[in-house]
Amino acid sequence: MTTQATVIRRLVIGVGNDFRGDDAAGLALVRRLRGSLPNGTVTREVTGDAAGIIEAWQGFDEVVIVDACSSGEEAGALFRFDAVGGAVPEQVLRECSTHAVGIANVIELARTLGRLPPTLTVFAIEGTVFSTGAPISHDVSLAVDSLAAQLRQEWSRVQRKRT
Amino acid sequence: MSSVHAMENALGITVDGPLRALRRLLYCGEWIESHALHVYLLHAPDFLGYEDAIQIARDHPAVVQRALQLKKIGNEIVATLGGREIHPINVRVGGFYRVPAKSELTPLLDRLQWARDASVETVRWAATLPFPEFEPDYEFVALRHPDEYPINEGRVVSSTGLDIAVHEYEEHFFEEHAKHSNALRSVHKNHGAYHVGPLARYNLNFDRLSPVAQSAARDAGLTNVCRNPFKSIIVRGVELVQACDEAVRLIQEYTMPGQAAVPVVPHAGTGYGCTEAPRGILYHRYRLDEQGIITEAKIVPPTSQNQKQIESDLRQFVASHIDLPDEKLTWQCEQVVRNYDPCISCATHFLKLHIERE
Repeated sequence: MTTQATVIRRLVIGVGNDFRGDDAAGLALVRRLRGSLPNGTVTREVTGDAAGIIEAWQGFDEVVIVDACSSGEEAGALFRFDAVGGAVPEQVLRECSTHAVGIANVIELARTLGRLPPTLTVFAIEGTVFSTGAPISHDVSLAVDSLAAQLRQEWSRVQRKRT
Repeated sequence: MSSVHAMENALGITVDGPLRALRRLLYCGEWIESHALHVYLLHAPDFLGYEDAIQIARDHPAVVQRALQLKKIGNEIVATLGGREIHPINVRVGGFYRVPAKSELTPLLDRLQWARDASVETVRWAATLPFPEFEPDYEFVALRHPDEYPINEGRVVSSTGLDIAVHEYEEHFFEEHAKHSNALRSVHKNHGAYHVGPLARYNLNFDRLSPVAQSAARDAGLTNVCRNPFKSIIVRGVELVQACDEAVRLIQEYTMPGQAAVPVVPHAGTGYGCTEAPRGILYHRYRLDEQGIITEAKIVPPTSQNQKQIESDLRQFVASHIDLPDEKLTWQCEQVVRNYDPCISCATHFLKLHIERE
């Protein structure tokens, strides 16, 4: 078996708004990862409507979505969901989009259409500051660093197993 | 786009030829991605009795697949020209940072021709939906260009006879702050509320639609005037046809310009810009100092321009439908708001209606 054949086609999607404090957590995560991505892994930022990602993830073996959430947990708390196995709990990724369709709805839309990727993992980072123009809070920034390190480790372990 | 137009106006720069065509193409992409999303995933559930697009997908998967395909081609145009699918970053004062070779655009042609056909089908399908009887006596406001369906530029005209240059906008329109709301509401002086967006563009510019878009509208039973805001779903379909048709033409006629932007020399000045965003006219004004730094800015987005009209529609609609059960009235009032695709309507239920019947 060649190394080429074992490369996982992986898409990492960061969701958020750069101008709303901790809401930018998903964007910060994909920016942290860039420059040190395994072969076959690409990133994408979603700053508005998410409906386009159903088309974007076609052909990928594995999709990772990272978004901020506001569930009442402590700032920086990390949630992980296997979205192929079941719906992302609404109380975590609440839907209140503008003229757009949000992540949780897009995942359910794709499930209904039979267009989920083989693997879809959603990470949600608990935010605390969402006001206009605010920077990402310290706790969330640490959580982003920690998740970036965790993902690199996981991918490296998987890659070692496959090779 | 309104912002760069306003800056170019302040600096005395004219962007024309292929650079202007590329900007028009970029806007076509934005219209396609925005209208496809709103027509199928946000507006259609209202008419079909579904809570959301997920329920439509269960019963009519082909319809939702069509929406996603349409949206994808819009996204691709914006990504190719704008650098990314939402909030483009490649546009600059004077033109673009980088312009595509024709070979980067021609691969879009086949799918745009499919999208044009799919949009004609969208109009046909939207016309079969059930529409409440509701035709307020609107003042429509939109841009009007001598020979194009308005997208990038034109004079500001209205159905009551207003016909002004963009720089005269603030002599005729102002924003007010109502006690009951935290949103600014734009008002036409001595007239009141007004309606911007697809319905306004259509009513003021039917004669500027391409033959294929006009034909799609007529086949759907529309005349050149449509006052029912619920039927904006059909009109958005007509504008999808227009945007796809226009995009095909722009790509076919495109030749790569020798420079990505015309030279820009910063200096003091004041500039005005107004374009037709998918939801209606978007006005920008900037004052620049000698270094070209913005010292004063005014932006009036379409949602602010429609805000007063949305409130007026709600009052009128509730008064004439007060006999409906509370739940149905709430739902239809949400539709009244969603007709405008404003920046305040969620994809799911958002309206709290407190009804006091006397």
